[in-house]
Amino acid sequence: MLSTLASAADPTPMAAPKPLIEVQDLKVHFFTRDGVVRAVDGVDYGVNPGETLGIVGESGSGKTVSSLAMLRLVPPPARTVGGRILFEGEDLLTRTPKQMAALRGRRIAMIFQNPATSLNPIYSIGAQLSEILVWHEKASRRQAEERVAELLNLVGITDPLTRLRQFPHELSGGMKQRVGIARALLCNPALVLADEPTTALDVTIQAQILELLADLQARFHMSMVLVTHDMGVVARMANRITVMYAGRVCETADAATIFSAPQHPYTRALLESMPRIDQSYSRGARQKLPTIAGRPPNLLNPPAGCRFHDRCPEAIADCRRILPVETAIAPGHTVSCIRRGSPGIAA
Amino acid sequence: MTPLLDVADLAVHFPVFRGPLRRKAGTVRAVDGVSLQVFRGETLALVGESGCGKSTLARAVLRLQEPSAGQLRFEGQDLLRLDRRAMKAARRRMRMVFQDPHASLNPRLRAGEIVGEAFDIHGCTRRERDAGVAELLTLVGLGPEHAARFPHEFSGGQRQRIGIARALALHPSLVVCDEPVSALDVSVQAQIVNLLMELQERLGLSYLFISHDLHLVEFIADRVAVMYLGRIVETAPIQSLYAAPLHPYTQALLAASPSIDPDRRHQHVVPDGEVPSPLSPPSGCAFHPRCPFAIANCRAEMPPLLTLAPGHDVRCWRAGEWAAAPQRAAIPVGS
Ligand SMILES: Nc1ncnc2c1ncn2[C@@H]1O[C@H](COP(=O)(O)OP(=O)(O)OP(=O)(O)O)[C@@H](O)[C@H]1O
Ligand SMILES: Nc1ncnc2c1ncn2[C@@H]1O[C@H](COP(=O)(O)OP(=O)(O)O)[C@@H](O)[C@H]1O
Ligand code: SF4
Ligand code: SF4
Ligand SMILES: [Mg+2]
Ligand SMILES: [Mg+2]
Repeated sequence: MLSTLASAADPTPMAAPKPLIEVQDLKVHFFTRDGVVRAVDGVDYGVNPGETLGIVGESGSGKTVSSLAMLRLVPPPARTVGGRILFEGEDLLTRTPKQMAALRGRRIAMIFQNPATSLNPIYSIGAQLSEILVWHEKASRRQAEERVAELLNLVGITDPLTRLRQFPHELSGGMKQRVGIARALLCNPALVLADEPTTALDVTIQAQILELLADLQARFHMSMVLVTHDMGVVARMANRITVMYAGRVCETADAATIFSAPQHPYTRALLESMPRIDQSYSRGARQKLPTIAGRPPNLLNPPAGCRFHDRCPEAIADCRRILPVETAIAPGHTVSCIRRGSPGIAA
Repeated sequence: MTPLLDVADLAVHFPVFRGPLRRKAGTVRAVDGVSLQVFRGETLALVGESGCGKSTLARAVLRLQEPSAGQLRFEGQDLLRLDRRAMKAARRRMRMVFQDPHASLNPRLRAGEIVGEAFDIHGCTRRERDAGVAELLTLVGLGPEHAARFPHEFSGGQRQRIGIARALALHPSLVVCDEPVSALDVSVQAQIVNLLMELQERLGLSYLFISHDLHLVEFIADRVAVMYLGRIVETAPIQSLYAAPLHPYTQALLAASPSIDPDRRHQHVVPDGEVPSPLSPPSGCAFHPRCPFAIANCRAEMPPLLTLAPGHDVRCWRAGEWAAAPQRAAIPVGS
């Protein structure tokens, strides 16, 4: 009845593989009435074949916007104003809308945060999932339905033939998210983007869905980008982790390094501010949680220099002036902080 | 010691209507026979998954939701016997902090008016009110100058500070916090949790602290009550709960909650099955369809809440077995 989830967090082998997708100096800005919101402002990360990259950061740090950019789905008034997104060697930003439509849902698929709103309420589960196969793979209705039933079964939905005829509102939240996962996997994508896939779910259901995702990912050797604000979730799932702050990347490293030897001051502060069961707070001494004073900056008018400088315990005068640029401090470990040796761009 | 708040056999049932004729389709037993106590100066945490009845219980304690049955005693008074006026007076001493600082503050009122509301309701003078508001805003780490601003001019964390200041007006003894940090960012959560603990020490407050985050609860609470489908399934001092959880649901919750602790990152036990609908709860022990230890009796009869160690109550037919052998491997992995 119970099952174990082997860790996905083993470090990747050292020989750097060629990334499946590589985001380079990506810039996505929102052109609003009040001015330009620099939501994603020079972001780099890559995902290797078969690995899970966790993207963490606080609300508004640009996690969702940068992952939508990979599908060329940034919502207006946002525009991708710079950078490259190399997928299987080609820059997605130069693809035509038609080429993108053929790619989306087939080679790159997405799992959304809210399973209730990501399914269409007026079509049955079977109709909306087989539609995708008919469109992408020119499958017949019957073939499509068979494949859909097979996938529903794979994601742990019992009695798939009955479920095919049901509508989203007839399913529980966890069940809907299973359907969302089945939909993403229909065409055997090379890359799955999962934006907070379990945030809307209960703790025990969240654990089931994470286990399912890890299992499927290993089985089909997919790459996955897992966007979340929950450090516990990435700890469970990710091979490598990218930490974002205010539209920029602070640090990227394999999961073990992020947790055991984080280098960027923001990564350190974020980890310290989380209650952990291994520090026995409850044994009488009710000490305080370390906090990060202040709050993330307004991206309409981001501070000059390092965007973390007004909250950073290690800031020096130069931090107000120099925008740090990510640099490798060890194989597979990049940091953007002038006090860790990153080069910078003077304001 | 008599408890500050004594809840006994409390029930809140909602009728459910269906179809075009709005026929009564059943009853949701959102809270079904809950007993718990909060002592002076302590924090009792109430944990459980969404829909298990935590918020309904909180609202019933303040009689913002009328209980269907049970007893409520607060500071020695029988709350369910109070008329509207007396209940209003009692609510000076028991206040609430809500989950969503965006939704719980009236967008048309200034921070000063929001925090000062209680002074107005309870007939204080203008001067008393203004002095009180300034003091409260300072107490929660804002300043008197913030009184003139509207909620949208504050961040989420600042809004929650206003919600806390509002709750502290007129010196309550009990503050019911319903997921006070769930809607906030991680770094801001820590700021608010520290504030709540500091205020508790300074003002001698008692908290009923509702949360679904077991890591947070271990940090802030003295005792924990675990709720499943409208009922308390385990109550324990914090040390015993984390060291030796006795109810299979508590064990599942602990195993399922994502942890960043290096030792706990690698192996996980995931309970099967969906959270059942409270409209048609399972027979017997409500956890039996998901419980790896269920026996025939679990389907037939609901277990009583039994005291297995001082202050440690459990509602499980088999908890006596675990309590007798505390070194049992927590849950047989992969069985
Ligand atoms: N429609 C919009 N107009 C202007 N700014 C926007 C708009 N949508 C998003 N932004 C801004 O873009 C930035 C990045 O947003 P994004 O949704 O990527 O954050 P996120 O990291 O996914 O946060 P969360 O954890 O809350 O999901 C934020 O500063 C946000 O305020
Ligand atoms: N006004 C209401 N009418 C009918 N059912 C309700 C009402 N309020 C809550 N419920 C039901 O009662 C149960 C407990 O809800 P709630 O106390 O909000 O849970 P929690 O706070 O633990 O998430 C849920 O099943 C919910 O749907
Ligand atoms: S560059 Fe300066 S302000 Fe930014 S993280 Fe490093 S030390 Fe802190
Ligand atoms: S009473 Fe039975 S079903 Fe319920 S928790 Fe205990 S062992 Fe499991
Ligand atoms: Mg997002
Ligand atoms: Mg609630």
